Amino acid sequence: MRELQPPKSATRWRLTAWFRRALLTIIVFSQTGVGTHYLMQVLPYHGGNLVEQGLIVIFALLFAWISIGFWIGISGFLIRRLGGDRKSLAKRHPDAKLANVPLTRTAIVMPIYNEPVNRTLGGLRAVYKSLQQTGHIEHFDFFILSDSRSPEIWLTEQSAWFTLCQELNAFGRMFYRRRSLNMNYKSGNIADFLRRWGRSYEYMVVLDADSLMQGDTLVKMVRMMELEPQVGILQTNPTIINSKSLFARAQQFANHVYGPLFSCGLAAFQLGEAAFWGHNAIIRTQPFMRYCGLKRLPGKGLFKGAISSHDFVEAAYMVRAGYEVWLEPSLGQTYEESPPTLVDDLTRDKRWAKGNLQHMWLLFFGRKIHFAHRMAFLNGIMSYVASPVWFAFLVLSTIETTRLVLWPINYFPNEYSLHPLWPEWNPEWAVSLAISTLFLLFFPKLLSILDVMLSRRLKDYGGLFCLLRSVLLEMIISTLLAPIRMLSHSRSVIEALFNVTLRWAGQNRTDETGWADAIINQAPGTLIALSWSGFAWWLDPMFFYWSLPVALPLILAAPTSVLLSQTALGQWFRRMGFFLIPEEVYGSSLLDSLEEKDLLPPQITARPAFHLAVLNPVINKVHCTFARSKLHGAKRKRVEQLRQICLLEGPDKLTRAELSLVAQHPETLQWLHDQAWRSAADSYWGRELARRAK
Amino acid sequence: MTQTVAEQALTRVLFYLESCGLELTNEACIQALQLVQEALTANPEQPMSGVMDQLQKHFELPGLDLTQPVPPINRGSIGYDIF
Repeated sequence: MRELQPPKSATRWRLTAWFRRALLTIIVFSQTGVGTHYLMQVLPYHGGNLVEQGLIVIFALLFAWISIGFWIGISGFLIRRLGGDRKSLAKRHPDAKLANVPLTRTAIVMPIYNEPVNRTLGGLRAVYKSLQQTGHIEHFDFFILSDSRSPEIWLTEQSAWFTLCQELNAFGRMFYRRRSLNMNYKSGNIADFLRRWGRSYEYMVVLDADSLMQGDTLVKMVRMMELEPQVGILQTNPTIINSKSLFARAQQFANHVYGPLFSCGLAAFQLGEAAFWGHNAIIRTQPFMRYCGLKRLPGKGLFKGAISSHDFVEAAYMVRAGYEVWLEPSLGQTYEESPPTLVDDLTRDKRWAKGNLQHMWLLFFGRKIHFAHRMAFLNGIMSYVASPVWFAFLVLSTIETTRLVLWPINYFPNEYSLHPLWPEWNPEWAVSLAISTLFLLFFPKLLSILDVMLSRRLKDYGGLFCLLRSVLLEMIISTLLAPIRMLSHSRSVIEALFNVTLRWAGQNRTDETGWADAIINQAPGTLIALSWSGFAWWLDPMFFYWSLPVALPLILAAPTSVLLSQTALGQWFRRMGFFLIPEEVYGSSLLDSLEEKDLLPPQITARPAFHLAVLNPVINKVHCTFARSKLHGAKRKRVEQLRQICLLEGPDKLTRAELSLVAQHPETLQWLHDQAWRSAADSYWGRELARRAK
Repeated sequence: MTQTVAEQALTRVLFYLESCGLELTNEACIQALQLVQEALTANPEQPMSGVMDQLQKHFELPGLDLTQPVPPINRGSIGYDIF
């Protein structure tokens, strides 16, 4: 394949990156050293036995992890106070300069898999209209890339595509493609697009099914890429929008208030070696095609097969090839949605845990991958591994306490020592250490409040009082959720390491959690917590009180899960002024466009899509256009049998696979259409027609 | 009241025309009635089949030009390097 020559950047940033990262490393290591030393003094035997040594190692790991987040937040705050990072792409190119940059052909692609059609393509409609308003729509083509397996869903998608094109006059600009063979998940879907059409486009913007992006932002991104030819991927920092349930609204609020600090800090350390998050980003197609192909992992278990979390790896490969990957937090009006319930969030995390743990292969065996991206892999791995590490810390703490309370004191833990070791208790140091850990966790959130005040954005959140009480409520919710997540992620990590098969299904973005589901889902954690706190109470009341911040949320996990999933409760809090965001206070044209009307009216979505495909003359022609399969021999005979059954008894008599076979064959679809309209009034289709005609 | 065969046939024709996007003007309805009369006279045993056969002769149905549901393919390839 032709090698591409990545241009050199006009702006020097690597020395700055090295300096910033070195400084962060020194500070984090020093802080961790101090914290670990404190812990050693707190522990009765000062690390004199195996359990305490285990506690110290785990504590150091977790403390370092929390410190990194803390200092990224602090850095983000300071950089925002200084007016932004002078090394960022946005600082190099003011808006006045960008306005004169000509645009070039860009594909906007939306890979979908069994998603709710009205919401997904309604979102794409909003993006299209927003781009139309910029006056530059002619430079963009839209691709709906479907991997949906259920014929009811993909038939609806095709109908929706047609409706969308009619409404927007987008024929020849909005395209739909469905893969009949779903290989390698989303990255395979994108790769298929690139193989067919990638050479026709200079850039590709990837949207997720729930993504929204303002037209102005898209145009600006293309222009930035034109001025920075060495940039392979430009990633925006999507903010959460359109949240209805209390859970999603809390996530949305946290993302809006704390997100700017952390994204700014993260971008400042990553600079041109940032991560790619898989969506709401623009990609230079030719180097992406040449250098970012993902081979299947050759190992065993978890490390065998397709890489499921492809985005981090693609960024690493892009940078390895000599291009740059930037995170640009100043690119606003780029959005995504949150899972509506805790259960959906944890289900998604289960997939992501596996995907991130797979990166261990590349962390250790990836060749010529830049150190920054190895650290990005490690960061992703630690996002999930931190949970079982925390769990291990709790287990070891319980063992240590049990030994101290139940067993006689061992004055000679080291059998060769001549001097006794007197176990010391320093409860005031333990309290100081706990407070300093809490400080690291919560101070950046308080700094975010200050950031909102100093940047005069209080009205964005309903004013100071609304902001403060929203932050307090968010802290309570996140404290309740942390142990639940810890347990769930621990399970996900263990399942991933032992390679339990996961199904990559479309995410639920709409349903609430019922009590039965919540109790069943949370039962293991609740039982563990009840047993642990019961044991702690029996062992030592002080230990019981120490266990409460973890045990209580686990015991309350089921009601927490149910209440947080309630849309009515989420909306009630919104009316009371909690968790407001700027898009709700001032309105958002994208949201308005999304909510103006359903793409497919209820009279279409209320009936099965296959019925519409057979009966509606226009929709039938649409599906015949997409249906491509050519059948011969035994398969053709089979389809002829199936179409007879369908005609006489209705599509309910066919399995999903049989329905799919029929719906992909244009001749059969056309035949069914003709025969259905000719059928007698008392036949299956005759009665269906009579019902629809009323 | 149970519909007669003629009423069922007329309903089917009108529903088909509406589904094709045709406006059901008075002229269109009169033509539909004529169509049903001819179909029932020619093929009383299979009235529905008869009316659908006659439809094309009586009405100019709007065509559907679905040009470019996907653009022309411009084939490229994906490069796979070392891990």
